[in-house]
Amino acid sequence: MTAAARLLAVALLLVPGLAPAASKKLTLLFTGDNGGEIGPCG
Amino acid sequence: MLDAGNALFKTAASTDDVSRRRAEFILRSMGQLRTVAMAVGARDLAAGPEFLKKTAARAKVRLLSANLVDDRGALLFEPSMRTSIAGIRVGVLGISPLQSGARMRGNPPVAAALAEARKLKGKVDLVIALAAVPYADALQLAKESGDAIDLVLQSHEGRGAGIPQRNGGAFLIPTGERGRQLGRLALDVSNPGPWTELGQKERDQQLINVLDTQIAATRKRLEMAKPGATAGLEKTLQGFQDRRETLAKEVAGFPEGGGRLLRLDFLQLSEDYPSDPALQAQITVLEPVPPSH
Repeated sequence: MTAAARLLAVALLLVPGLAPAASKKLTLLFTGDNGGEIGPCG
Repeated sequence: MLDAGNALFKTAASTDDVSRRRAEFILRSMGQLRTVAMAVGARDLAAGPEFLKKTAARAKVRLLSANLVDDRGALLFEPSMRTSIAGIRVGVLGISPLQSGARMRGNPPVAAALAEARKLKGKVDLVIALAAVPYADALQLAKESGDAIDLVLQSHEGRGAGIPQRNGGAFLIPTGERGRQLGRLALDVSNPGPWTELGQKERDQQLINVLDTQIAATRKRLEMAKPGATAGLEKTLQGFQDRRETLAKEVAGFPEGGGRLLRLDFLQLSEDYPSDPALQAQITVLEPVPPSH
């Protein structure tokens, strides 16, 4: 299990959540400071 | 999906082929994640701006920097972008660290971000700054932004997950580190007015509970203390009680409804989440032996 693969699996799972239930609600997903990691020890 | 930058290389000096292939892979993955935009950080520029531009274009990831310019002073990347999510108009700008070089330099990031934000204001409902700059610069930007910026998402030092910070102006939001977290901001802009951070009340209440335990324990110790040896404990007890009173007033005065609402949390990308099999296979090729850190 690696960070990049987990991130893809989780983020795609959450993408439906990006569609807001009401007209003025939204959910933003974000990352930062990945620092070239594709498989940290977790 | 947004990225605050410093995603691609382990250091700003990683220029070998393996590091480039990893950077290409990360950008491809970001494209698959439908990343709307990424700020250009110091650790994204290790192989130079041209490599970054070409790789990001192939991956369909938009790169933002309002202050990185070439040797003629022309912007190297888009300064900002606008998008609409279910009818909410969102403006996103990016900034990079202050730096100087022969063919590229970073102009003062705070001034550049404020100028870009003012161009967006009025055209969007929400302004987000992706700040791939040192924490001190991001803090200054958040303080000086007034109502021009709503959220500052910072990357540079790998500060990890945390809570929103606000000293007037915009919220300063941490963005995780080393691919271990996915940040999530739930925003409700149905009502106009100032922002309320919904986690603050919960954190204050938790602290009150901790203080109640400490106050009870200190009282018990006072009961058992020898006469004449209680001054220190009494002072400690008073400190706890004063802090509790302040927090209780803050909780009681917490706005109920009205204004814009924000809640931040982080998903820790642990073994609890299964990996995407196709991506996992590519990672195994790029990195046959997982790092031991």
